[in-house]
Amino acid sequence: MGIEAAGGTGVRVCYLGLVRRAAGTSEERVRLDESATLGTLLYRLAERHGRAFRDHVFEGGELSRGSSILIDGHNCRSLGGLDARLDGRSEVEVIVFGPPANGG
Amino acid sequence: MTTAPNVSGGKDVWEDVWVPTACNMCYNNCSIQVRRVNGVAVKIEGLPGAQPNYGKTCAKGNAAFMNLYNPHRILHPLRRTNPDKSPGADPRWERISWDEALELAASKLRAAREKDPRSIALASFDSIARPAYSAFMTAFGSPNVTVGSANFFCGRGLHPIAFTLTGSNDIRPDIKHAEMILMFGTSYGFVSQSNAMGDTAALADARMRGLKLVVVDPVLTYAASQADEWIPIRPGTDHALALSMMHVLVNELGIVDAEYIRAGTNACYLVGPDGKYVRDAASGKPLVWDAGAGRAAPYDGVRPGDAALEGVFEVEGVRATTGFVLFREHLRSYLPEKVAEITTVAAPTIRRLAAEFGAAARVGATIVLDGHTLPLRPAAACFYRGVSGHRHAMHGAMAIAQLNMVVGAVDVPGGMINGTSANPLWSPQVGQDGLIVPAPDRGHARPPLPQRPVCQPQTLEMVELFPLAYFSGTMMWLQLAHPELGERLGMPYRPEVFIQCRTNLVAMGADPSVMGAALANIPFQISFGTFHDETNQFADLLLPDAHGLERLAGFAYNTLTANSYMNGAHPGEEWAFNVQQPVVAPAGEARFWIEVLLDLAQRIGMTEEMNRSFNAVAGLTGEHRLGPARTYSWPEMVDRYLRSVCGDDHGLDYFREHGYHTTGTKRAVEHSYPRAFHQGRVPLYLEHFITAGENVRSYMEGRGVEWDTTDYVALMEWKPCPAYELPAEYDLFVVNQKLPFLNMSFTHENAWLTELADRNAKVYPVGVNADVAKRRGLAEGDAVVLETPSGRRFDAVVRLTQGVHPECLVVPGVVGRTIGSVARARGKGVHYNSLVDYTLGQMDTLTGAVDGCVKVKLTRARATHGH
Repeated sequence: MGIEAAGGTGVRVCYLGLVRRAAGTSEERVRLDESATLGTLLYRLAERHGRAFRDHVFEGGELSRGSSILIDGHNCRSLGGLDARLDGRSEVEVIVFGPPANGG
Repeated sequence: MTTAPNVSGGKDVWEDVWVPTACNMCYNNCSIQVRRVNGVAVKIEGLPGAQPNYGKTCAKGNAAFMNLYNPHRILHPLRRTNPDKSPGADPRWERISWDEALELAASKLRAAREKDPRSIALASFDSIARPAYSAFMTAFGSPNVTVGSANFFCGRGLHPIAFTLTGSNDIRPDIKHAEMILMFGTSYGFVSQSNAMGDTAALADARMRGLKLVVVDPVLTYAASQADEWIPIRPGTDHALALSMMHVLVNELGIVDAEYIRAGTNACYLVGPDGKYVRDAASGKPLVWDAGAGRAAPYDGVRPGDAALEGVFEVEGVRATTGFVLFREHLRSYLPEKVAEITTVAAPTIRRLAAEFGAAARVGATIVLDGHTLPLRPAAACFYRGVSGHRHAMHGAMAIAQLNMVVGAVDVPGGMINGTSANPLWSPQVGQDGLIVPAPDRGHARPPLPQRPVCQPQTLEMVELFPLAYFSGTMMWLQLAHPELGERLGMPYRPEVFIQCRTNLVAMGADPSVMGAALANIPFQISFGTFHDETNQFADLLLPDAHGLERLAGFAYNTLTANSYMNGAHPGEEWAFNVQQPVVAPAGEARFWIEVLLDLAQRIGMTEEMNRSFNAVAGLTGEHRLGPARTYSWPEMVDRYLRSVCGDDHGLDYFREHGYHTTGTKRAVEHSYPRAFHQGRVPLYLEHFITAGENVRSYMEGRGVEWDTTDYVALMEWKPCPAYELPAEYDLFVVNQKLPFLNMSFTHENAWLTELADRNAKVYPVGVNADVAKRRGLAEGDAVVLETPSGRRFDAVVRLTQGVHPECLVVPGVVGRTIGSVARARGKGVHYNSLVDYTLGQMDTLTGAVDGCVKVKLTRARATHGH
């Protein structure tokens, strides 16, 4: 199980916010095998892009609170979070926000 | 929109309508309707029956069109021609076209983005526009969005503790069921906080049915003047009083909600000699002592009734006791006799207050609501600015929060309840070590739990160095004013462009000279403004912003959103929404600043990112999502946002007509009082503070920086603010009192509100205790000088009053402004924020905010009125 497997499907990964700088690109295309999950994808991308990427996206093994991951426009948390299947999906948006502009 | 019932008639009146919209004179977003005659706004009223204000408006709301039609509005784009940004320097504005202005702004933004996307910063307290400007900054790739001046004194202690207590960023008393409310340094229910008018009406109703109100405050505030009892207290000692009251409740009276403490808090967790939890070797979970089985087990493996609250146990090779024992013994340091010396509140009064609060809480009582049997704890201790404005603010806030915990008055009817932690889309969850955490995606909040790492700053606020703080905006300006400080702390970049709108940082933050130095150090500042003020005087580009009655801003009141906390709906109210829409055409060339940001996004080739970010921030779903390739108009984006949340029948056309919408479904019991519906525990023993402190210490040692981490302890302590250590001649604290009719910078640009100020004897003079004044030979109207330890001097006029603690002076609001359109308000009164020393030594290293505890020397300037 992993990304870039031969014969698998491809998914476009877009980066927004702080994570774009960590990824060093605004988007990339990743090939996945049919059993790949969001967790598979993000852990692999974290290996590729390094610690800053991982720290933006993960928090204690969970998705960080400052991040939003959308799978074909749907919040990943409504699709199973890191266990969300990516088979048949075409786009993953990884968005990392700054601290909330909230409070007074 | 409706035709006015009493149309004036006559051929000269071609239009007479009421337009529903949302008020913009503070951050409460009340539902209002504005009468427009022949294109001119002539009257403002509350929208009948609509949340949050139910037809009521305050003085500010009624007066809004005096800002709208102020003849000194900024009407055209202006470019600075004087590069000198020293204090008082004339910017030498030059009028330019919008196209020139936008090209200039776009060129600066393009260059900054190329250099480092993090190098732009944006400050705004325009809560309604937050989804749009947050999306802009996310699209740009910058984390530097700050609310600006509101960060300085107000919520820094409150918000982290609100998350700790309820998983929400705000907490408030359940007015509907409370029988006693104890207010510490707040005017809750007196036209303040996030549901000003709704809370005021609700509290008035509660007072009519007999609710007891006790206000602890150095000043006889508007709230204290209407209370059953005012407890004058020495500033900065509120939590010593709370700790002492808890000592009386726990150690003298034995009033404790043991059931809640055992199951709803971490008090039964075992703590070792190092102050940390004793953990299960296999799972890493904190252990509790299972009294039934006679052994230790992970907290989630023991029935609540079997968990020992007290005792000393040999566990995992160490001698351990419970958090509750440590808490209880810690409280013995706060005997009323000792605390009386700290607070000036007499020991018998402390004991009486504790007994009254404990009795009012009715520990053990229940209530049935919608078929659910819930604890009823009709006593609430609340707090805000007065506690938050001091060093050790988080200890202060948490100690008062614990007063509620001791009697079980947390997120249950009658007690302190969440502002926004639960709704049909999210609810509090169980997180690290079984403690309560907000739901993920809850506005991308930064609660103190789960714990955040301490690491090299990525944000100009350097919030990464304050792992328990919600924000640390004060650090941003301090390090910009002192670049060497940022370098020492590891700041990897400097800002290139600063965008500012609706936050007057220089007037409303601390020490204007530091704020000015910070702004002068930013290469390019883009300000949006309706008036010239102390902050936009530093701008390189000053753009005319639309007034609240001229703009389509989208959702103002939105009880379902995670993106605004300005939605203080009461338990049992329906889920409701209002929209801010234009009533009149913009003056001159004014434009709504969000539409300008969209224009800039397009000019710098950022439309796709902007659309994607807006989808994420606003939570647009399905067909309402913006496609990446298209350019959308702002009204179209608003329409999609409204339909996405309220359904296809409630888009922009609906809101243009009605202004307001309710779903018809009421807030359920589990949303109003979620305590009984989740398993997340509230920490009575704040073990995570210790770990956070270790992480901060480690980072600072690694950089060779001396940093105070003494507040990172598990049990809340009272410690004096640095002002307590000043030479004896600085013998009077200065207390800043809220004014309900002047509480935002722009309210000082309003002729009606400043006239109210003129007619109110409390606004411009400095209040001095009458007995103290008599001893010093001062009389009403005498001219005096206030001098700070750093040598700053302020002229003032004395007002004699019995409504202020003898050790204090009272300086209301943020008067004493140096720039403003209303001549009679300019320069009058003492500018409180100028009294505050804004230095690293004054920073609270737990909250990341500046200590606002001020002491001065008071001397006579010259005699008046025959003296």
